[in-house]
Amino acid sequence: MSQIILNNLSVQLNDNLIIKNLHFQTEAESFVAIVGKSGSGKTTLLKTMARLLPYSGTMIIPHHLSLIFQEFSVFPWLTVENNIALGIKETDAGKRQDIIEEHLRLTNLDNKRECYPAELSGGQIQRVAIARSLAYDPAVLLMDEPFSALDSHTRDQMQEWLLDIWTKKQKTVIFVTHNIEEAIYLSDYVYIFKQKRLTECIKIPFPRPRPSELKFSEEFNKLKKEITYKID
Amino acid sequence: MKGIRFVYYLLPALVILIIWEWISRQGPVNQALFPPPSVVALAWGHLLADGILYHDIRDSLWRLMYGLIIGSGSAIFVGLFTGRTRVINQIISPLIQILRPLPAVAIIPLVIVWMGIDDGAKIFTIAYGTFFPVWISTHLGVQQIPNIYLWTARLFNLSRFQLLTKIVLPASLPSIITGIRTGAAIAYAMVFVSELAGASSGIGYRISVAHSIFRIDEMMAALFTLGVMGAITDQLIKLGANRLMPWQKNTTYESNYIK
Repeated sequence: MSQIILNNLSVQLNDNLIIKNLHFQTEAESFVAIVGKSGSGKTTLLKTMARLLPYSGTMIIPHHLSLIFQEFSVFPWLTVENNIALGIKETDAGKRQDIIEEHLRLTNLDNKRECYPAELSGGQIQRVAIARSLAYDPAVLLMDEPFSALDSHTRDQMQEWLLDIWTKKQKTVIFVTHNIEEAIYLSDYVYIFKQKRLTECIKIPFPRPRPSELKFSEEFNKLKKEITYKID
Repeated sequence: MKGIRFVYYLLPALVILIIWEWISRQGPVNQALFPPPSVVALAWGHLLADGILYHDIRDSLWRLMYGLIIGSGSAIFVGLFTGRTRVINQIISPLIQILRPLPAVAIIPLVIVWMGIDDGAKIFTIAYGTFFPVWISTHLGVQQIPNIYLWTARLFNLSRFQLLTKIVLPASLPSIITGIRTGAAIAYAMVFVSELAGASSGIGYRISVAHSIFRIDEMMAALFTLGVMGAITDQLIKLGANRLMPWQKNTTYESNYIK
């Protein structure tokens, strides 16, 4: 089961209470976005869910999960292929190679397999990070503003590409972003992180598949304004 | 382009040699104390032709290599542990920090008393001098690995061995290589000093002998040889590092220069 339940979760770092009595529950295989102001504690929540930070309260979340960081986390000393291979637990060499090939194709990185990250663009680097996480086959994929360092055109391309991948792989995704448009376009539910907890859950009414033109519709922008207002 | 670069490298040396030759021959200095480069070159040619230089280079080089390998190897091993394990760091690092500020040459009298004057003592002295710069570079290189890499490794459930070989070592390699380059320079100083006393061969010994018979030209020829050996060693380490770190081949720092 890839359901996530957080109950009365609190996180304190260096005498600073970042998360206070947070409650959260999500269905398996859903795409959830968490939005909030910069520095509100969204990243801390994601790192806590990945069990990288100490916490108090109850956290039910699959151990087999992956976190894609905002900063580029692919290893500069490994080629694209070896970065993807890093998390694969399959020991049979043939099957291992099949998994690598599948994810190279899925992320359109076939022709970059021998490249090192320094030879790639920002968008390609984040695609390697996503391919590596998917090849690990996690039950839950945590994503911390993975497209924030990209220009708006590449960001739009990456959003469409991510939705396509998510449709094929059907993982539970928790996507942290401060970009409300991105949150609405990608997710089933948008949670608002405010005052050290998740204050509200908004169900996104748009059916899938979602065309990119959706972002220009009146309904979309109305929802965007509503969420912006709630964050402030 | 390569031709221009070659001129850039060669030109300053050529200018210095010409000035040196002129000062030595025309200037107010005593030529016996300050022989011109042409005389030094002649002395260097004689040492080479007699086979003396070959034996000296061979003996100094193998002492240096043993010392450098033992010193660097042990420093990398210790540095990986002190950088990664809090308890080991707390136990070992203070001890190293007490020994580190001591000039490495200061231990030579003690080494002679304990180990005599044979090659083992010389290799130990060189290894001792090499250890500290390599250790501090390894230690800091490991400690400065970005958290994000270690977290990623943890999320992928890498074993301790995988963590060491796939993350910690490659991430700290640039720092380790810098330490080895510094260590090699110190190793040359230690070769020279250790061969000044109780040696019958080596570049240090040659300089000492030339000094005792007042052959300044031979002293300078031997010093020049030592300098060239050091520069070649450094370039070889750099070359080896480029092969060990192919991911850095596209990382140039050209843009860091002031335009």
